[in-house]
Amino acid sequence: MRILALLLLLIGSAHANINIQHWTTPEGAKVFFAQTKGLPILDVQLNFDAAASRDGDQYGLASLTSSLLGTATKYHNEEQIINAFEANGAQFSTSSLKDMSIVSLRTLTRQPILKKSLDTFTEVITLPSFEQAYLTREKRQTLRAIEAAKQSPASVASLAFDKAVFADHPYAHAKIGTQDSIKQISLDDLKQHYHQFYVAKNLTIALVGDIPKAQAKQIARQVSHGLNVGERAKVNPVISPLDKPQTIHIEFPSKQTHLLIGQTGINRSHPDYYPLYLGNHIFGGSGLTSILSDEIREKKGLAYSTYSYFSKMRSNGIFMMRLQTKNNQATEAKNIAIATLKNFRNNAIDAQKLADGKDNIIGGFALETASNANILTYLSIIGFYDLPLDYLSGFTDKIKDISAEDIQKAYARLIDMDKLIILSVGEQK
Amino acid sequence: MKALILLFFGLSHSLFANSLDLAEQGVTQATLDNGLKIVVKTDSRAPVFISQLWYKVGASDESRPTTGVSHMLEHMMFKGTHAYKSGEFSQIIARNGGDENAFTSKDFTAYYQKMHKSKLELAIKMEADRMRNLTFSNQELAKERQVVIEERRMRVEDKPNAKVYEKLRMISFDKGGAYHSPVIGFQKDIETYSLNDLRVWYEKYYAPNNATLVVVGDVDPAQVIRLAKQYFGDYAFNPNIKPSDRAAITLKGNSKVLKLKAKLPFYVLSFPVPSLSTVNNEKTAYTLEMLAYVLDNGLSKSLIRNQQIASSIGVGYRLYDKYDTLFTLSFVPANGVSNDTVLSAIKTQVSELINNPDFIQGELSRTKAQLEADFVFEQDQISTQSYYLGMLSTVGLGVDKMFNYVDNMNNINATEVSSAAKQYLNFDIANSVELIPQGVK
Repeated sequence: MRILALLLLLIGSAHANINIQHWTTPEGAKVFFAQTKGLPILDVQLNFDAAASRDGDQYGLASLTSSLLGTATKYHNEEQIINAFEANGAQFSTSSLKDMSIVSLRTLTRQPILKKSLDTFTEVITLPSFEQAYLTREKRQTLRAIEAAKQSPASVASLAFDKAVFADHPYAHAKIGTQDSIKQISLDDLKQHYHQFYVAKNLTIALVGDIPKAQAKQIARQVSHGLNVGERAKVNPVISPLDKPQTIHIEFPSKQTHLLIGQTGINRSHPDYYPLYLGNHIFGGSGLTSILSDEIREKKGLAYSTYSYFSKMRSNGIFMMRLQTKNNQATEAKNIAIATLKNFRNNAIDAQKLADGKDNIIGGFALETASNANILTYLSIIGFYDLPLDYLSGFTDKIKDISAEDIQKAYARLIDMDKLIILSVGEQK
Repeated sequence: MKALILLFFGLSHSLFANSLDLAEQGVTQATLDNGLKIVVKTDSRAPVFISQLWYKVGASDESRPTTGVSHMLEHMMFKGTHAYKSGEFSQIIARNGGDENAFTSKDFTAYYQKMHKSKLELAIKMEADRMRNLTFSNQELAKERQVVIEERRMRVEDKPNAKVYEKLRMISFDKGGAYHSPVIGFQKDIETYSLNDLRVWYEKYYAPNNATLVVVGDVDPAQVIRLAKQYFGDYAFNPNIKPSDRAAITLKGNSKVLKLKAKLPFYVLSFPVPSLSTVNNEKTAYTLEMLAYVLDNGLSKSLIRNQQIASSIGVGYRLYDKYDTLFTLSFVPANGVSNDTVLSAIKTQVSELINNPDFIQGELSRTKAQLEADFVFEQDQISTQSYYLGMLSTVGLGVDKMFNYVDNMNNINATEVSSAAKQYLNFDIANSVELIPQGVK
């Protein structure tokens, strides 16, 4: 059996052969397109730099603006818009994160469905009419969502961690806002937010599907043409490393304590991006086979789910280890997680673990672009975060030569064991 | 869509029509002499495959004091065989670029690997190994039992709405039949079952004639069948596997109030209904499915968007359950609105539908357009395709149901939806669970 496993390591690796085409519309929107064959589907994703980090002190403004897109346009009301998408079987959605506000459409490529879906989509995004009745309703919905988050220990923990790690940075607040901040937001605020940020120069368009490039160009042009040219949003300040450790406990009536341990992370242009990527994959990013899962779950049975990740946002994200365990095991789990991180930071991993991690990423790389939905996500990331067009095709080459020492040194440079945030949410009293 | 509307409902399709249709969809089926079913669907958009092994066993086969044993066994399947030590299955799949996991539900337990197409033999070989050669270790069980209890705490105990659904199943299904107990099991049962309980379960249900191998991706069907023969072919047919006699026994008119530490109220109703498997006339099941879509869209429009008395609403029907099932309605009222206000608005809308089928004509035609498009959209993920193929094969409906779905749904008219609402949505005998929040700081 061992011999078989060795032989299998020698089988050649896959490489992504996605042909990414890139251009800029006359209005200044950057377009990223990949033609895929086999399914009569088109996905369009518009990524605006218009999310919660653009809220200023009006927490929840970006989310509310995003949720009103599709409620009314210059020519149609909400029910007409919904019916127009549904009648063509098209899927329209909006979402708003910390960096990106996303508007997306999935439609069949058959005519007249494609044209009708795209026309409604274009109208919704370029000719929105912000109306008080919808804002009042969406505010009530948001206040409900804020309450819902308070009954989930996982959500309480995530919000508290962001607040601790991002301090006074625009990433720190909850993207849906607070009871107080939501009440203060007016229709004019939404119009102003839209006017400033939903503009061509602040937009990247990702297109994936079975259409020729000429048609993709025409679609991107159609969407971009109706937008103001505007200006690209100014880059937010980079988050600085924490200057002191923080131990935070939030008492919560749950059976489990949620533990979140971490610090400031990286963005995608960080010089150690690849060693940290591979390192995290091995440390806590690859499910049951990761080191963290082995220590917490496989060896001790302390948690069902434990993992670590880097959220690689524009102005640096976070590095976090996360798990949840019954309340009276929280201290034991915390100590093991921290000791595991410390060991990973201070000592290079063995050759087998390094090889296994690389083989998993490289051997499984074809899975990353196996569906239109996957490719769409990559095009969005490449476009929004200004990554090179060969990001995907060059990825495995960047991984293959990394050594155990490269990983260890990258972790040692980034992770400061004396300045961790250790946050717990659960019933400790 | 290939139109198959000429086929009669409730009759078996002719072999010719059936196999022609499936071949057009790139589906190949085979059964080994030992009873292992094989379903292959080719999809060569990317050089990858997903291989899934589905067992016909799940929570619907369980009763106290071993509820959750199917799920516990699923966890133990990663804990080593005579050939591979604990955790090695996952390690080998991972270092070969694979993404693997497993899932347990009411009517099935399934395992999968997603990998580059060059790894097909490895996936099949290793999955075959653990169908028969599992080593059962008390030490591993002790740890994994704790993991599963943590899983239950995370999924159910600390999630108020999940507790509501667990209670709903308990009052909607008799404990003497299927679907009463949760898939993960009652905590007390998880705490107590023995290694032997797991071994017995494994011996009883993990056999080739109780399983379906599904492979979707850039593969050659003949090679899949050859590899399946090579690695599963020597396992004996198990003559002791009989169709389950634990059908679901639906109950009516039960209600419960749960006072939980929560911030938001939540209300769920259930109506006992047949599934596609248990219904006399299949069209009735598709009509219930359509009713769920139409009501979900219609109630969202009137209660959330227009009247603004609910902040969320959900309508559900489990078309593919193996036994009689539930039609469910759930909602979170808007702030300051009582459950009764929302309930009476729902009842009003349902009676409107019953009295005037034309009320839903627009909704119906839009839903049909959506379903046709959704069917195409679902082809984008090989895991979605293999899920439907494996699930339909495992519950005994047959994989052609996947490809007939849109045509069957297109056949439903407004009068039929209205009649189904009248027949099944009887609020006087519905079961309900009401969550009354007790406050969280």
